[in-house]
Amino acid sequence: MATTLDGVTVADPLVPTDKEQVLTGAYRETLNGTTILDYTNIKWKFLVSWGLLTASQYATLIAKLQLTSSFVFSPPDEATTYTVLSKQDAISVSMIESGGASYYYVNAELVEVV
Amino acid sequence: MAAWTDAVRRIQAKIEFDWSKSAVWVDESQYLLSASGKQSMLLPHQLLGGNVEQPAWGMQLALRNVTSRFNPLHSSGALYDNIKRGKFYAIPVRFSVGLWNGSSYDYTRIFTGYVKTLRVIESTKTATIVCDDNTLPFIQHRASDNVETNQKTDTYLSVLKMIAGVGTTDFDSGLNTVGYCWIDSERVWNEMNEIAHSEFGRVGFDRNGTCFFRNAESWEIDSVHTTSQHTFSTSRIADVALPFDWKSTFNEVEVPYAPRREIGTIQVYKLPRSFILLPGETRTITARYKKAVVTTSTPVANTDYVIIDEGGNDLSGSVTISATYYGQRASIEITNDHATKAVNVVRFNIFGNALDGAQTSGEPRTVTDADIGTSITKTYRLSPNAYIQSKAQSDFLAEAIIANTKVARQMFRVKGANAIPTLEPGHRVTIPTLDAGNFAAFLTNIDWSFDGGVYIASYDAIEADNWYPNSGDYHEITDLFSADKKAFI
Repeated sequence: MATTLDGVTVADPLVPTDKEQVLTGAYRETLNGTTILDYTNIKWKFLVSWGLLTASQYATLIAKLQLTSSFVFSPPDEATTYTVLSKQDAISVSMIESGGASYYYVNAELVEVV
Repeated sequence: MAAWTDAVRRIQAKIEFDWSKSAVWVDESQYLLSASGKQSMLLPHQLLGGNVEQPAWGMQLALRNVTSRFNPLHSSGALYDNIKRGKFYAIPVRFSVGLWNGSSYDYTRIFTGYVKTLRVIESTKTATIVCDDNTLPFIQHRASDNVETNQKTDTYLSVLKMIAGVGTTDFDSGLNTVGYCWIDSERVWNEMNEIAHSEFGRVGFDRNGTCFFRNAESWEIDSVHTTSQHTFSTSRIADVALPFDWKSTFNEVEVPYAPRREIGTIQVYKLPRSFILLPGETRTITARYKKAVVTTSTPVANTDYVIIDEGGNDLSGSVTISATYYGQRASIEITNDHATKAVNVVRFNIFGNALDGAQTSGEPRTVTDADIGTSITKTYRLSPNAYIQSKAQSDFLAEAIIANTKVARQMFRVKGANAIPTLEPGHRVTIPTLDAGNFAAFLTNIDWSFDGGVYIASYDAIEADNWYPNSGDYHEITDLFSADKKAFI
């Protein structure tokens, strides 16, 4: 499956995508040592890294990552789609020059909305 | 089936405002960052000590305010017309917590009240809203009314709640009848508290916003007081502390009372100085009586009031007098209807069937079996309460209070508990200890919070055993009361 952001196919990530659970809630230890949990939601967070992107691929990707509203994310190799927010303070970009062309590396964090 | 006692609970909160004050509730849960609240109850003997009122239950909200939705200065904000220039004050608010049942959330209301303050914090793009329970709209409402005679507590509470405009009520039947009740530019909520306290009862608003009155015997017969509403488990609480309540322990009590009697018709008001009304002029006099009156005699021209022109000629027929008589004051509106002449109001007296009665010290009630022993004397003297008007009532209160306060009660503070939304102060609960077993107690205070998905509370409670004298060993008078009622003898 291709990687899509907001319905637009973008380059597949360079390295395997990290997928972590995010807990809105907390575990607590009680008087007799029992562990209990209150939570509102358990969501997925994706740490995605792209590399060796051409200028064109980069432009397509960064336009989506810079959306401040939620969008649908289809991770590579997964049939499930997720409605996510792109954490704007987690986007990092680096660039290298090679053979007269620019190539981009992009790291992003996508957090499931609900 | 999910339960609030489960070890794993999926919880959501719902916060709703009636911004337009027209029963159109708007769900603002998407902006909610956290909420916390306090539900407190003073015990009967604590209330009687200073004629204080039950504390209002409060709630504090932190709301995300990135779009300045809750900024009363943001003129293009969606709520601007509802919250600008202090309009946010007294906006109805309600808060619920929902427990996930596998397919949806089952919500339980834990707060009903009104917005008291709204504070925007620019740096964090948040808004803090502080709310009080349903006492807020009339906590400062003063009123006057007639003297009502032979009022059962709940009957007079119904009179007062109509004056105050209180909505839904749930009043127990009053156990006491008060000879003379009136309100004279006094705070209605304070009067409602006082008359409830005068029979060892209490008033307040519950989590659903209903105004309740619980009489003295409710502690003995209401299931929320007689049956444990929740058993705290050491597997659901972080800690339990066991303080002792020596402060509320006494071995002597004194309940003053103020017997009232009707002394016949006397002059209760005299106009302090004459005044002139120009043609067409109207003046309103607030006549404060020197004594409360059961009935007011309608003033008679040229007897009780004299209105003349500058030559001393009677012009009482040229004025319109409109009067509203209360128990201890009257509002009298006098209009000079004469087309050309000024009138001089030289006398205005009001007569009525007045009440008399001075405060009388109750007889000290001393016990020798108090937990503090007999080597010291601690006397608990009640503050004067206008609704304690008979020696019998004073004796009853003294008996009830000394029974309550002669016991040095164990207190409990349950910390870090899985909050249970249905619990309210006054409820009987079961408190666990690690080494000494379980104890029955009445909740007196709940500090709750909902933050980051965690719904947690600390509970204060007071030992329930021996709450009344001869608890469980009353003589039943079945021809006077139904079988489950008890009588103090």
